[in-house]
Amino acid sequence: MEAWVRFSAQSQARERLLRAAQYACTLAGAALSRAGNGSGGSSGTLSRLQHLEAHLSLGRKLLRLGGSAEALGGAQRSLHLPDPVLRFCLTLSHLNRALFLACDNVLWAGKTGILPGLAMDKWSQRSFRYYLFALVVNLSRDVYEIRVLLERAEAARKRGKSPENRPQLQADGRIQRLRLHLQLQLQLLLQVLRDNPPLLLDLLRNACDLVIPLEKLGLCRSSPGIVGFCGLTSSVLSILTILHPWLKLKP
Amino acid sequence: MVGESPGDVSGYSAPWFSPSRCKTHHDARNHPGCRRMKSAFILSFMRATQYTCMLLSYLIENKADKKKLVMKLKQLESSMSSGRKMFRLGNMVHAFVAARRTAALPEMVPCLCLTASHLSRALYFVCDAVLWLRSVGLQPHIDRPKWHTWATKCYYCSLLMNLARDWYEISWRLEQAALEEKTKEKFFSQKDGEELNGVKSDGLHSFLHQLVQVLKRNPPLLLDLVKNLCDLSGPLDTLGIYKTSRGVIGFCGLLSSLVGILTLASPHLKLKQ
Repeated sequence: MEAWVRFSAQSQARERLLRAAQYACTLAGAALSRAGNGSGGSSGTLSRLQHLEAHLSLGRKLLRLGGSAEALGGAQRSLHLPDPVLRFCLTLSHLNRALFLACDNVLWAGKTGILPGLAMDKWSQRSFRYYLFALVVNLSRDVYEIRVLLERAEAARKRGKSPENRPQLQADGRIQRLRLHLQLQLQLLLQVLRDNPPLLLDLLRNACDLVIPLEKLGLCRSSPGIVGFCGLTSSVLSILTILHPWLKLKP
Repeated sequence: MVGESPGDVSGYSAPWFSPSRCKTHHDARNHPGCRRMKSAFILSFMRATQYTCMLLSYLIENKADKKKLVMKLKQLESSMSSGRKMFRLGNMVHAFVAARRTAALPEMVPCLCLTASHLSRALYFVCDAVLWLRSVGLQPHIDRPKWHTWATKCYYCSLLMNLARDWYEISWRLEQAALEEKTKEKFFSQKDGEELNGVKSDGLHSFLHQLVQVLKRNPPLLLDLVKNLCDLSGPLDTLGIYKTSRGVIGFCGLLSSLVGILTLASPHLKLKQ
């Protein structure tokens, strides 16, 4: 029980749990509608799930009020990072996140009736666009980190490589050489990801999250089931990084 | 027991969450202590907003041109209330853990009062979770008025236990102060009879004076007492024991929320268990 108290006392942990519940509802709703095919028995459950999902979404929006200020603080801190690529990526990511949260706050005001005449669709599209930009920048950062680690691993491999292997490569055909090269690169990539769990988790999380704005903006056709599954997976991965802080990619 | 109103995280005395820098721990802003207090601060802030809306809507509801504003305030109030209910799902476990901790206290009266208070609060959170299930539509057949009454009774019981504990703290400090007073009088006074008679004649005055002194010297105790007394207004009205208005409940709720935020910002003002 003490572990639950320590975990749930963090606001981010509760927000992630609510997010996981929200996307679990999306996934369950998609599964039910496929299984039931609109039959009377499941439509009541389906509408309850949809109502719960809407309620969880609105609740999460409420918890995110004031998040823009935090994101701007994050952007200010990332301006002091030594690496220029990381500095650029993280600052841009925080700024996009601040804009996403600002649009999200406006959407909350619209949904609760504080701003009744709000163009909900327009603001929703705007917020998903900023969310998408933030995710793309995060993925660029992940790709950069992977590239740096790949170069280091490649250099380490070349240092440790024995000379008699090289003539064998030269003797092979062009396509076979290319295939071998790709295989080696893939092996190296898998080794780099295996040796860096925080980077792997961050990459998986951003890749899963990417599906959500792509689907909402109509850029990629997928089903509510896939959106629910990806949202649930990324929420579970976030919860893992809260439970085990060493899994969080720094900075 | 300051900061122990329903929805607040129990028992953590970590500092105020600082957006830029953790002032107390003097290191990175996002370490676990600060993240935990952010949760308590968010709930307190939502509570303060809810009661501010209640108070403001009461103050302006009779004005003809403010109908739209009143409606928006009521919607904001209801949104804060449902958000708080959702955010504090799972707090019953917090309350049980706190009850287990206070059951090990050495002094009998605080041990009994605080343990009973935490257990009542745990039951309150259970009722609150049931009401949330109904409001969300997962269990539409739940008898809302019955569960609301039960939740209010549990909360009321928890507040009474808190007040009993506050009264215990005040009474032993009063006794200690009276003992110190007697010792001083015996030590300094060479004359007997007249001065002592003078003290006995304004008993109520002296008692109130001593009470004010005790509360002035113990700000955490004063804040806890004020918070618990303010929190009483809601359940007294709901249970029909002492009817007041939405304005009074809103004002008292806002005051108690501000006291809660103050004790989160300055942990030395929190009454220790």
